[in-house]
Amino acid sequence: MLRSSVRYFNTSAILKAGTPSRGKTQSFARKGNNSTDGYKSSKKNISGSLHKKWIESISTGKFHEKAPIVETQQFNSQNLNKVLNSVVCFSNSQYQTLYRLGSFKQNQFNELFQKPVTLVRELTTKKLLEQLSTDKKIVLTGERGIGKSTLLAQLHACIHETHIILHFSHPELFLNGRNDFLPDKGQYIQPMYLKSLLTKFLKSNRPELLRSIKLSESYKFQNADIKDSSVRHNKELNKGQHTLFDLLNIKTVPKLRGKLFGAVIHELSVQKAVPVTLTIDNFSRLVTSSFTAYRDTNNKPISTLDFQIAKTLFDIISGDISFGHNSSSVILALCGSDRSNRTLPIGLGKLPHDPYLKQYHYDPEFAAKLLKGNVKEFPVARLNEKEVSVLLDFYKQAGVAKPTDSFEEKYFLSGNGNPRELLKSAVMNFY
Amino acid sequence: MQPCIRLLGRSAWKGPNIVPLPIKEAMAKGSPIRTNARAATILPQFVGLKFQIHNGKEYLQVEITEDMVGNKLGEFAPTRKRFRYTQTKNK
Amino acid sequence: MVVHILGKGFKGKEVVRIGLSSKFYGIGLKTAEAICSRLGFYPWMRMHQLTEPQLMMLTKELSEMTIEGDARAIVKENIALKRKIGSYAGLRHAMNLPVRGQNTRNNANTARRLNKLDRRGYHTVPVNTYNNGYTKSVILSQITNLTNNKF
Repeated sequence: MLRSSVRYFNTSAILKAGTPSRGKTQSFARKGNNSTDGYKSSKKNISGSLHKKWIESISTGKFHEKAPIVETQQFNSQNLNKVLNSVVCFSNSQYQTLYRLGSFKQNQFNELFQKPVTLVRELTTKKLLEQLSTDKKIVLTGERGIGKSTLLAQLHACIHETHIILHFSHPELFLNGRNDFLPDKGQYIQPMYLKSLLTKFLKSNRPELLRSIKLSESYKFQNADIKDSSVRHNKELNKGQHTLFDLLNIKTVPKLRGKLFGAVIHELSVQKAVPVTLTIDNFSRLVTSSFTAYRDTNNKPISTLDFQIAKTLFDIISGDISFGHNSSSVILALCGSDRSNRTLPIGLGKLPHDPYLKQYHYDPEFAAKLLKGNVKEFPVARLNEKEVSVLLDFYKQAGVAKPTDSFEEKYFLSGNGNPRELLKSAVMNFY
Repeated sequence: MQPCIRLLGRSAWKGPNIVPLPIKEAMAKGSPIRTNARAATILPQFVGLKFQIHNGKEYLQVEITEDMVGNKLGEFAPTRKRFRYTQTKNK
Repeated sequence: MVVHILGKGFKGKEVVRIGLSSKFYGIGLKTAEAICSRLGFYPWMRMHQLTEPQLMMLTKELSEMTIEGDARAIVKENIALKRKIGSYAGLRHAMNLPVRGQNTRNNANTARRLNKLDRRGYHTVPVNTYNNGYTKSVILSQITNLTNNKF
């Protein structure tokens, strides 16, 4: 039974693409050609369509619906020891938050299972939470596929009920020149990106937490009328009366969004009631290049720190902007496939400052900020043999590893303790 | 003429290829200068003079104008004749 | 949605710098990027995002540049000058043959197709872009100074 369901999963898209029905031209657009409305829907870019890149199409292809259901425990942040060393799924509220935060990545093979699953590990999950009680600024390092983003997701699940989370899942979004920018008081703001960012903050944090923060200052924002853009309305927020929730809910004209973002960060830093956690995934994007893809009016590349968002992030890292509550923290995660240079090792204090290095290899400004913030490294550990066997047991149940396979040691050695490699080799060996 | 193209052809530190030619006499007499120096750069002083430039076989007479400055003398004396088919060799 | 700039139609989804460089003779990717950054457009701005004032600025910027007919005229002028002074390069242009000493026993089809006295000008970069501020008079004066010392 297990086998047949897995077969179905396999044939659904890949094999069908190889055997077109007779008399019809083979095309990816007509994926649903055995259904009656196949022609009607062929023009629409339906989800699961193969017009996209491979990795994007499998993550939207609803493959997870065909995966067998496996009973797993739910991730429990209060009683971590109970779920330690077991594969868990997230509760609905956790899942919703993580989804909105963008904690799930496309290359995590989440489509292989009904719901995104994760292994709670003593060496990483528990240790990170313990280290967080002493160090407030941590950067997660390790090779690709080792579980840095997964660890970050687990952390989000742990703290989302008590903390306000500011999560930047893809810093390249405000660096790669695909969003508009405006000069504003000596720095550049990015209205289009800020709009989605503020919406994300609003949607991914618990409204009760946001409502509990009363504004410390009065603000006034302009917004254009829906029907006539030349008519402007003023929206006023009063000190002590309105809350951060109202501030995040405000719609304003593009020019003022930089001010709005500044106000949000200011309000968060002034209050002391709620802890704030800043998390940045793919932090290496931010720290390895000193310049963005944007260019100023003289066609010179604009430095990263000239942008309001990047400047704010580095100010939070360096401690120039600090959050009042003492369990506030900053967690950064690198991207294993990114270029690495000397900035991070020097910023972590592992190498001495070298004035002769070029900016491409070492940006002293970034390193100084990291050093000032006293950022600590947290190397994500490899899987040990016990964890490999736990994972393999789960994969067998979920139908992605051979049920008869019992060579845990083989997998342990082949992936060298790397979870993504382990999953890859288990699946490859199966089919 | 594009000056930059002329500059691109040769290292800047060398300057133009200057060949000693009897310019002063030619200016005085107005007689043509007979030369084999095809690689000599045409200088502004040459303008208005007549040159007889060797093309490998004979000397072709060219009068230098202002537009020619910067080019080489050889550019104005083609070395190849267009092939023309003839019935007999002796014709 | 079609956006019109100086009589050329652009698809709305086209990236501004790529569209400019592909439709205008005399504007390459680098020049187009420079125009976009000068006007404060972000690198991946699309044609349909241009507002009316931005379009006006872009049109103004383009109309001040040597593009299209002007740029082609420069190429033609240069060839005509070579022909007029009777240089070898001019001769080769007139004969529809390669100018820079390539072999003509085989191939040379590109030159046979394109080298003409009134060349349409696809393959040459307009002169003023790589002139770097050197004008003819500046260079002539340099040469004169140099040679006056020698003679």
